[in-house]
Amino acid sequence: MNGYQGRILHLDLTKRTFSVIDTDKYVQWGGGHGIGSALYWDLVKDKTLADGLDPRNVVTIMTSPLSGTMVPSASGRVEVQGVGIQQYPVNWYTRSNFGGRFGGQLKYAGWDGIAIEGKSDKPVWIEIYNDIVVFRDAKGLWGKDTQDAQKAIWEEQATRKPGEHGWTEMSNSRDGGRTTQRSAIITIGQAGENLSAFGCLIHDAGNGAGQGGFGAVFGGKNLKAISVLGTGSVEIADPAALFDARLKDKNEYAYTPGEDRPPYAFGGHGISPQAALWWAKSPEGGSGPQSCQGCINGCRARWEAGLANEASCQETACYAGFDVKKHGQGTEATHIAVDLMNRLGINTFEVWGCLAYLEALNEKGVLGRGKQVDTTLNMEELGETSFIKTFLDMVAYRKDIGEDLAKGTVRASVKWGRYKEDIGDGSLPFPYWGMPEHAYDPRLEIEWGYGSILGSRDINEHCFNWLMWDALIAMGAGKEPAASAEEWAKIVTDKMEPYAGDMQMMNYGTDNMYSESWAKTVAWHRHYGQFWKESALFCDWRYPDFVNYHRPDKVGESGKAEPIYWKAVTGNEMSFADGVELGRKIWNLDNAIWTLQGRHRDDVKLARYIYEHDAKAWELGTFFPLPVEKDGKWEYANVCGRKIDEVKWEEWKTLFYNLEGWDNKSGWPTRETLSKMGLDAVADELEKAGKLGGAA
Amino acid sequence: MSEVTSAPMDQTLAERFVTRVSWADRFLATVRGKRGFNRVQIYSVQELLTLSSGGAVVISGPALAVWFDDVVGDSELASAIREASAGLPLFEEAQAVLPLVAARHAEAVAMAGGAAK
Repeated sequence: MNGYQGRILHLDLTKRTFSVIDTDKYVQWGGGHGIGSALYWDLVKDKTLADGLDPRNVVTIMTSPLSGTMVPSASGRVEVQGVGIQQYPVNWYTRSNFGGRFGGQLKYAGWDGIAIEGKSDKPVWIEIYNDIVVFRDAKGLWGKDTQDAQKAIWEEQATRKPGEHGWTEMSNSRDGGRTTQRSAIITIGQAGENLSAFGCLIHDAGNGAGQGGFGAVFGGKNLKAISVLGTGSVEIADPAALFDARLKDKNEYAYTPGEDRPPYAFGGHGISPQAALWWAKSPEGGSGPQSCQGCINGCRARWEAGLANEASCQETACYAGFDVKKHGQGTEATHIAVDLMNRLGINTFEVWGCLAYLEALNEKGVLGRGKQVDTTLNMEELGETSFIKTFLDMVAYRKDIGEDLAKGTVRASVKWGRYKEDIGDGSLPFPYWGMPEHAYDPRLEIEWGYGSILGSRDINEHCFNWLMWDALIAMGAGKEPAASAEEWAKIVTDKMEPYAGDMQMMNYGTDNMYSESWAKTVAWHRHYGQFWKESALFCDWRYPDFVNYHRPDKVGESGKAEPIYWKAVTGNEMSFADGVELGRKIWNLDNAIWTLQGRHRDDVKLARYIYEHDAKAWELGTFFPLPVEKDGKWEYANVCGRKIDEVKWEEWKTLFYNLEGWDNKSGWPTRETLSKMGLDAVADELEKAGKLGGAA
Repeated sequence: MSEVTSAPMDQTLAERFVTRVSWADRFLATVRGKRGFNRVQIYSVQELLTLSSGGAVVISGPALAVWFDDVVGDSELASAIREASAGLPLFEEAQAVLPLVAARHAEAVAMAGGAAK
């Protein structure tokens, strides 16, 4: 099986045993998320499970056939799934994802993924050298931060004596294994050990699987870390085709450093390699670019100062606003904050939303010593290094306010008796399933909001979002965007198979936001995301490549590139539309899991403030340009100032469920829809549970 | 550049100028990073000026004018801000309007008899 290693490692932490699952059975799901969901379905017998800390919870860490190959922006991603502990009111089966080199090492060790169940009676870490799997005592690692834990493992591995599974035991033969790499490690910090919902997984300096609270899920299993080192390789069906595609990608679709490019193009595919840094000031000294394995972008950096290495995008923004507000400019406080979060294994998104909420509570006069939200935190110091150190210490060790926050910011709000008021006025900016608002307001960038609440988390998939950035940067500077609104809508929707050609799918106008076209947009976005991004593991930062300014016609390579890479690696034909359809199948399986967990369409509601208050744009206060068509004319219109009409939203949900072939009264999958995708066994289990939807 | 000359500040307005506003009345400003942006919640004129001192801020002139009109209650300054920012690209508006705010704030602090709260 080209691209696949044929084996998935199944760890039972309770028994401290491992077994091998043949990948063959799961190849129909593609890789990544698809295989992860199928494994979860098969391994978890009681699918009402909604506590991520339950030992029966199965966590999967999956690669794709493209992992560890030279497919740019698809070689280094890894998908993490299982029931989390961060959401509200229900901890749905959910997902996260991280980059780096863990996926490549896992493949080189001969594994397509890992499924973890059970709970160890004492802290352990797992060591994988090719097909050698060892459960090791983590007593010496427990309590260490993520960087110190990794260093300790590397040190131990480098100094073992023969017979102790050290590097010295690696074969000297060419195929048996030599490597210049040190092991790739995914680990938790103190936040995960102490079962805080802020806990995330960290690999190397700054690759994090943040959303879902998987750090605490690992902590609940007494699993400190997984280390993997492989000396094998990945069989490629057509290496020449892979390299041709890679060169074509680089030469025809991507800018190189120094090459002229439209000054206002912001994100997406056709960009120069550059770090995505949101802070106002970089760490002192020089820096070098850093990217995930196989990527040509380099969206992160490593700094001479040794602070905030491998941080990117929101991580760099997390504390920056508070820092600048306090000091008038960016300071080291921002870099120290990022570094601390990565060291303690803390999800920066949850921190971002939480700090905004705490600031609001302080301004409302309900936070402080002896007040409704009783804490010793000194909000006067917000923006200072001292504040973030104190706050993160509370979170990681469950001290002071950190004890209440351990179940997530929203559950803390409920405990404080604040939830109803604060979710109503928006001071608690957590619009979907108790997860913090991304930078993109659900009332404005509606595919983001709709997709998140129909799924299990903030979707964090920027497919259309990059184009908003391009328009915003250009228009903010008084320039014309590099692509017109009509070009955007045409190029994008032409690629959205099987719904291609309906330009209204990109009409963000208020009078179009409850239309059938938007049902198609949201469905396509979920289906594309579930396969090409979460299963094939093409990186969200570069795919899909819709509008590409490097091309004379501005038409990006999405639709063509993904299948070419897939075939070059696996040898299998997978058209773009085939992949989107497989994404639909995976999406249906996920919905079946959520249904068995107890979800009903009546639960699928955004936070109250989304229905009751007009949106002010997160990014620029009053300006959020998106394509709008009116009377046949397209323009970038500022869509700020609107809210979601709850009645129309409920009607739209019916449209959406009908389009998906789900029961529009319950939102549950139907037998007819599942059968068409070969999921009769899933329909049987739903029926047995009394949760099979009626005819669509 | 516009100037705020028509209405001298009175004690009541000066007090409002140096008082923190409630969460509901906060102003949303934006910090510009190396590549992206970051929303910041502003609760006082002093905070706005501190935020802006390093030049990494983006402020919508019309939005700020509404805030001074509706929340702070300084319609003279609001008008001047509208005039100063008219026709400018968004990213240039802060530079045009903040000196007006700073001057008015200094006047208010002097009249209110102390540093801004």
